[in-house]
Amino acid sequence: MLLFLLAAGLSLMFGLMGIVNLAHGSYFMVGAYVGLSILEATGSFLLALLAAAASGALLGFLTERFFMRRLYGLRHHEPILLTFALSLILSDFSLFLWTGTPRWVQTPSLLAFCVNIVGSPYPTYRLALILVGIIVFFVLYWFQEKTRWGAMVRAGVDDKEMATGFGINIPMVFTTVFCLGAFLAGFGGFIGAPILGVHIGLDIEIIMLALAVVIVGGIGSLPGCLATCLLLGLADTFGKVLWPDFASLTIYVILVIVLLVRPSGLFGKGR
Amino acid sequence: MARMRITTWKILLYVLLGIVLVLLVPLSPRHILTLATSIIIFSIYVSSANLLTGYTGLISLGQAMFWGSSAYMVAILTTRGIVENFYLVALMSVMAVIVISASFGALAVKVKGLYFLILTFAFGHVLWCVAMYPIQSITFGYDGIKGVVRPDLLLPWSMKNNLNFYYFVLVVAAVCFFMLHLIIRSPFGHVLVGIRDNEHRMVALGYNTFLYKYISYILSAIIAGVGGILYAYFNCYVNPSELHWLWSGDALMMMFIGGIGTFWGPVFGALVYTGLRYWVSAYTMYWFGIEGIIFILVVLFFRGGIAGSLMKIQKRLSYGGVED
Repeated sequence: MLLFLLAAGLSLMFGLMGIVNLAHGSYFMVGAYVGLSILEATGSFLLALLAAAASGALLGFLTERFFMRRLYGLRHHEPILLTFALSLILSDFSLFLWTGTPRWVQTPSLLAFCVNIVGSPYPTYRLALILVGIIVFFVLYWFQEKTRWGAMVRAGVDDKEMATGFGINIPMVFTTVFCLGAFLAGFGGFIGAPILGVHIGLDIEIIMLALAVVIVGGIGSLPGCLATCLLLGLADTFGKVLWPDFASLTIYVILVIVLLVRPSGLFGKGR
Repeated sequence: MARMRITTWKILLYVLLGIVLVLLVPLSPRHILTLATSIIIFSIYVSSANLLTGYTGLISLGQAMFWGSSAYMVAILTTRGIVENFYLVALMSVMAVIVISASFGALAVKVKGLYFLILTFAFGHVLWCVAMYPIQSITFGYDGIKGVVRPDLLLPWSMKNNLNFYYFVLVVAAVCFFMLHLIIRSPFGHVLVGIRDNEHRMVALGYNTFLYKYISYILSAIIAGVGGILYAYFNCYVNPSELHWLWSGDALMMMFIGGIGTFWGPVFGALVYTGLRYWVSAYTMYWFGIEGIIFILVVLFFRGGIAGSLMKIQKRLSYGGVED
């Protein structure tokens, strides 16, 4: 579910702008770090969460405004390399500010207990995460399908030039989507922190998974993204139980198979 | 006139390069010699990526797969005493790379653009995961393999001497670059460039573009593998990160800094990147941040890399020459 928050933003950006944003994992990590600092300073989980998401959005805004905007219309590899460079910088920046010690965020006391589901205990915090993921999915879905803004975004995804022709301010839409995606990443980074921890290198781990989800699910497709998160999550868990030695492979093997059999993704539009 | 002036310049540059490489570097202090050796090995590696990316237009994140697997081959074969003869080890490593690239390539080359990038990344990552966990007993997982011994070339010079090894690397690099030169200048190379620029047109002209891309992929893998062999012998150690996709990312970085799709660009890239990293790491631990900043500057302002910028200057100069 956590992955969904991240991948949804990435997928949206990818679909709309044709940009693979490798700095997306960095928003996730920096969001987690900012949230952690605010939590330590104020003690308020909610405030920390807001700050984390806001820091993600801010980074996204800066990335789009100062770097990506210069590169629209170029071939794929320049944005990829640029965002990769950005992620390197952000990673070292985090190392500088927060040092390399792995940190943990305490689960908020309100949710720090377990409930029994079908006889086995399950931490409430994880349940809450699943709930948040579902809510975000519906909000995004509603935003994309039912609102005027969503229509503009979809128009941008389908045909940039035509949308511009209808008087839609595409650069504006781009900035918004970028911020939204980064907002979700920062948000996800912090609410994921009690489970994943916060450490340098988190950015790379998470971006690889998110990319896999986006590709397998189909670029720009929200339901695809959600379904794939569930699929890959399940596959990963089963993989760990069934063949522990090869568990780290499971997701990438699925990625390879999907790329070869159906490159547009499970839920992608056919080519 | 202008054209002649440029050819003389070129010859002069080559001679100068030769003097620096053959005479000056060996006279320099020991750490410069080791640095130069690694720069030359990296040049081979980056050029191999350049054949695939710069000339064929396929951006791959799987180059480390070939470098790494041949380096691991060398380490496994020599440290376990399976094969001692250097030539046999090298041959077997290259064969391994050919087998791996031929099997993965047959699948990878079918997809295009971004999907190719992600597919090569996924392949590379699968291989990395396999090397790290399931066959840990062979590869020693994250520890890497220590204790590789410098090769015995059956020549009068011992490779345990760093200077001799440097010359050996230089000769191998020269051969690799000569081969690359032949490949790129051949009709085959021109077809590759044609595919890069417009694949549909090449299909329409009746070329089997799949086959060309496939062969380019394998050739590039072999050259990357040669780099891996040299590096394993050079360090006497194989580091697992040499198999990781970030290592492929390094190749792309060097290529872009140096100038993509130019013959000498990768050499510039390897020189600047490795040299800077060596120099910067002495002062600060934040090399990656600095690398990122350099890289952003290159992408935003010097899109052709060093070689591209030099070529622009050269063009300006030669036009000036015409006006004279």
